[in-house]
Amino acid sequence: MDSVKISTLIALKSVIDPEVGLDVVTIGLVYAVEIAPDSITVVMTLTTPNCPMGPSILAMAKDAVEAIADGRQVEIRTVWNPPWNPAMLSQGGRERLAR
Amino acid sequence: MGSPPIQITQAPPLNAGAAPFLAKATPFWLPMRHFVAAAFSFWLFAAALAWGNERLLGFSFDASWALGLTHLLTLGWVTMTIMGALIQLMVVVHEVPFSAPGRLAWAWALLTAGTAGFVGSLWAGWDRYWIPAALAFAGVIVYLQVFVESLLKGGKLDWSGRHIALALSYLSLVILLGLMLAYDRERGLIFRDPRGVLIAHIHLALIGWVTLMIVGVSYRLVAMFSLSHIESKTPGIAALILANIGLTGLVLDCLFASRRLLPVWATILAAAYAAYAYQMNGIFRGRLRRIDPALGYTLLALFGGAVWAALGLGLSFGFVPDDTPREIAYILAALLGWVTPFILGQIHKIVPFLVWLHVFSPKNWRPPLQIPRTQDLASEKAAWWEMGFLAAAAYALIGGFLLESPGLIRLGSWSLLSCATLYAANTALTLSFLKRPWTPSKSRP
Repeated sequence: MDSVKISTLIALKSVIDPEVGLDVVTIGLVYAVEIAPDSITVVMTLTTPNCPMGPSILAMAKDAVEAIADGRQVEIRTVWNPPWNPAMLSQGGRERLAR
Repeated sequence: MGSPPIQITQAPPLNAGAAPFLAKATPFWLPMRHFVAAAFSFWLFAAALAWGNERLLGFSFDASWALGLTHLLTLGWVTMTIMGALIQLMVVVHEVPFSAPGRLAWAWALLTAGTAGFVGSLWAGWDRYWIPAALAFAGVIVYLQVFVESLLKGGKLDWSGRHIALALSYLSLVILLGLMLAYDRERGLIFRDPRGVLIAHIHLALIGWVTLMIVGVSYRLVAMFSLSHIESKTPGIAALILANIGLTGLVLDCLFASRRLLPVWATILAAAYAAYAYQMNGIFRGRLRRIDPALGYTLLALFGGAVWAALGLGLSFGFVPDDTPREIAYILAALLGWVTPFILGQIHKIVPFLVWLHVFSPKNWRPPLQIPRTQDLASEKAAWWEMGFLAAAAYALIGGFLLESPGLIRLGSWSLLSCATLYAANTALTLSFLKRPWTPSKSRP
């Protein structure tokens, strides 16, 4: 199960927020990855509920996880609570944004 | 992965599939046609300014060619861009789908034809300029109708939406006074003090319509683009209250009281600007992103707004002589120092976003295929040059009119033309991705 979780996170790291220029894991948008024998559920948020790129990012995340899901059903569950805030950005992400 | 969630709440469901946003987005060319027409107006204004720079000192506000030039910038560039941005903003930020996008296309056609005809007839010396002006007026009425309908449909207005609603209300007053001024210019029957009415019209447009719109949009977009957040809205609330008191007082004073209290209103309006600048300072201090051209333009605009407010104080208290060249410097500080940099900054985000959304987002994205970031769809270097030319243009022109220096005015007008040309070229570069493929650069991380 752990290897699937790691694969899922690696897949999500290829999903770049086109406006921010960083991947969704580095930005801190992914809150949880739940693995079950027949499904993968990604619990994630967006930088703002009205993020104009939001639906596209979620669609990309679903595509990315489906590519490694090995037949499991993939669900991207969007949540607004806790709301994303800049403190959730990883240190590496902060350094790249500041460059 | 950030902090573990304390309590996770399910969000409303979003549609599945690639680019579901496109299902409710307005057609690509609906906002984009505004930006293209606006870029053309901006370039034409800059070209006309450069061409006629030797005539700029010593003209009267009432000269037809000066009125044409002013309205090319205010209607063709500023209002046209705001209308395009509002179409985009209301759908994606306020989640208000337009029930009749076709009416907005009509509004655009009326505004474009009306502005072109109005400016053209003023420049050609045609005395029936009120006919195309009425077309532009009809266009703005259609926009207002669609926006107000959509805002009402969207339910409770948020912080940004309230500024937008107020700005739209002021726009209707701008139009009303503008039409009365045009009629009075020909017949001279309405106003005993046309100059006071002109000052009211100008300030309703610059502060009530454009500035309140910019302020409302900036709270939303600058915070979003800089990855910052607003901790306290108190300075912004103070700015909104003070701006409305100052503007209402100024307009009433100009219309009915012979402009006796202008220093009071100028002080209140300058205080409103200081409160807004303090609010924006908080957003900039909390940002996580480096200063890119969009944020750089915003900083330039904030500086320009301060210059505008200072000149307003100087004129109203008599520290700066209240004559035509100094009044032009004051208006240029507003239009080229404050409004234009802010608009350019936001457009540098909005146009690449629209192209990205409509060209790259629908593709069947699969890792490890790379798709462009929005900043890959324009030239950042060109944007910095543009900004440099705009800064040179604004302050050379302001200084040129303050000091009555033809050399500075020439430098400013040619710098502005360079800025407008680069901006048009950068917009064309972004739009070229509608037809050609994007290839990732080797230097991309």
